[in-house]
Amino acid sequence: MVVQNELSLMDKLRILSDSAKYDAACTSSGITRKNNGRGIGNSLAWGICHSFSADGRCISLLKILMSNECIFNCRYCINRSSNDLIRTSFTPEEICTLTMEFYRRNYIEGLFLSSGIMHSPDHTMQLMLETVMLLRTRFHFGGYIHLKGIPGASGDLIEAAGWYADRMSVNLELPTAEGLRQLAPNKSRKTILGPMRLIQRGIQNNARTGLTLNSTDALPDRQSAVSRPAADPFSEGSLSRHSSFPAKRYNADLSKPSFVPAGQSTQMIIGATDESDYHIVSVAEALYRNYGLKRVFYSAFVNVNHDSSLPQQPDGKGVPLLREHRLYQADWLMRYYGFESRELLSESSPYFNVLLDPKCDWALRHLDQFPVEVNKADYYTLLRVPGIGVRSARRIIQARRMARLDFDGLKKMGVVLKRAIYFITCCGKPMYPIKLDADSITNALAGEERRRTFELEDHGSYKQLSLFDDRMPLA
Amino acid sequence: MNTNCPNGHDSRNTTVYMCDDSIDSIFTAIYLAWADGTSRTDVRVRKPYETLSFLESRVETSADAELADKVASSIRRKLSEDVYGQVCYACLSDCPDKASYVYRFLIKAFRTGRTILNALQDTDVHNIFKLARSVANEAHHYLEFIRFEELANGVLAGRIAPKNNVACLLAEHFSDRLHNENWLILDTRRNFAVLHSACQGHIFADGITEAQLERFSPVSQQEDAFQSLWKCFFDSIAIETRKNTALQRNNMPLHYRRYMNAENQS
Ligand code: SF4
Repeated sequence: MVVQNELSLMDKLRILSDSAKYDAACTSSGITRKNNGRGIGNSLAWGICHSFSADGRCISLLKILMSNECIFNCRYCINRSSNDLIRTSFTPEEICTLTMEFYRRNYIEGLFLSSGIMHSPDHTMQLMLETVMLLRTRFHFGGYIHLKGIPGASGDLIEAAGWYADRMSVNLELPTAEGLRQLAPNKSRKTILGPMRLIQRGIQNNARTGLTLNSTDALPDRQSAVSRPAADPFSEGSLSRHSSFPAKRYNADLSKPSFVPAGQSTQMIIGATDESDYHIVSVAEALYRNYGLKRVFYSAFVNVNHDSSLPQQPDGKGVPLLREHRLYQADWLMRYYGFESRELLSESSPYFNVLLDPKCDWALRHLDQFPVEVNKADYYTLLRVPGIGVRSARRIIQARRMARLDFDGLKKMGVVLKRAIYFITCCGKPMYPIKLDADSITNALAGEERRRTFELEDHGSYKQLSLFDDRMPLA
Repeated sequence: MNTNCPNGHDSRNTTVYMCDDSIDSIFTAIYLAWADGTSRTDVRVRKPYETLSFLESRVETSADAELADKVASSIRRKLSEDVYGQVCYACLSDCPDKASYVYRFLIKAFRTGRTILNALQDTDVHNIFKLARSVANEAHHYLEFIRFEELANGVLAGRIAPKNNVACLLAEHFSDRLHNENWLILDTRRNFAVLHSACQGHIFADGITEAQLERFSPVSQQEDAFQSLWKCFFDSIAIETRKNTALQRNNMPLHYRRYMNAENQS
């Protein structure tokens, strides 16, 4: 391994951002915090995008690796130890300088720090911890920090880091333990779920006591009280007991130390192994329920190493973005719309419809529940109407207190009717005299969806989209 | 010039109260028009070159802080802070008919009461929402896309050229965020600036030009280096095989990029 630490800051930045770019998460959301009165920075719960890169993705955080040195050899990763690359690392001070100077110029909301594994997980986590401590305590940085938990790092270090970061994430990497064993042999479910549980308990504990983590092990697991038999596909080994670390807490708000206040997230690589969509959303659902995660990110697999044991991608484009997109749509439905994974997919129909978004698909399978009367339906019923989102549903409920709603009124309120018209009535009347028939609705909706998908995939992948030709027999 | 009042009134019988493009001035004109009788008056912001119409009568007005305050405080008291917020945002819009929209809205609002904001399906309410929303959206985009350059005297300077008059809406956000920095935001279309001094607060200033800003101070020695570092990051973070400039342009329209150096070069 050629390690070059004499590179210019520019070269390091190029290398260490290039290797971080496949990480899907770049959001700065989840926490509102005012300036601490001593330095620069604050945070807004809804998140801010400061730019959009040439691939159209939002740039919100300075997303970099501490180092691209790595002793592990995960097959899907560009930084795996068997690759012949220039290796380099930032010093904590260099990261602080970049973060502070970029932040002052309004380029970023904060820092997203991840790393390859230098020497050992503990050594790496220690350096990352030093960096965020420096940023918070010497530079008084009050912006957003997302810190990766390094699998296999000791509980003490993870715990200490949680007092400085806004969000932490430990990547699940692959949806099954078997996939992990094959593709990331140096990681295990235990080294990933261990820190994840630790962070979850820290957050719960902080919410309850506002203070220490020291009694972690005595806490009852809130999730075990959930009566629903949550299918937990994880076989979690017993966690090694960690000693209580005398964490020096970063007091953003002097009176109230907070532990990972923007919550925990994780990421799964989609399409490197052959799990179905159903499998993936069930895993995500279990993570939301059992680990209290804020977000699960899905990263469409790109075979950057041209590894012959992984799915081949001759066009170099990776897993179709449509698949990733459908997973995000489903994820959204589970988090905000009250859907469960088994309503969206099943063992017998385990993949999302390429022609329809998951909500339309669900609605067409449940036409008996439609049409819905907008002047009467409750919030969650409205949310199940294709084309009506959280904002529209709220507006409808607000506006119908004043007067009965008609289609014109809905339009003025900014409710997009294109899809909804097939599923709603106003005062008992549909917008057009349309017969609710699954085939004709599918046809109409799929035509619109095809255009949206085309925009999503842009022009490059036109061939793939001939799939969506009108002449295709529709399911 | 448009002789048709947007609300379908017959302009021949209408007296139009002309005002300047500021919240105070619009509120003043509204006060005066109201006193004259809401059924036969309208309010309009003066344009720099306007042909006269012989079909309508006009009353020229200028801002009067006391009258404007009366309007503001009755909105806040008798309606709500929420209504007041929507109205102020609408007044910052670049829509030429905004004063009339605000006037029509207020006439209805004072009749209906504080629940007016629920009447999303009403045209007069809808108009205000639309204006306010477009102002809020643009302001939000500038929170994201404004770039500061460090000047040799340590001041961070950001330039914007917004459609709506949003500079004042950025002030609070950056006063908190860049609390201990000296900074300024210049709207180069309106020559309007927000000036913030470290740990103190901000003021608004009219009549500040881009040329004046350039004379004020050159950029700092390290400025170029950090701009290049940002450009380097911006380029390397994109996934080459997934290039999608259409999506990029959709999310970050070109007109916002005028002063975004890295994003402009790509
Ligand atoms: S641990 Fe695995 S995924 Fe992480 S940098 Fe090393 S090789 Fe890549």
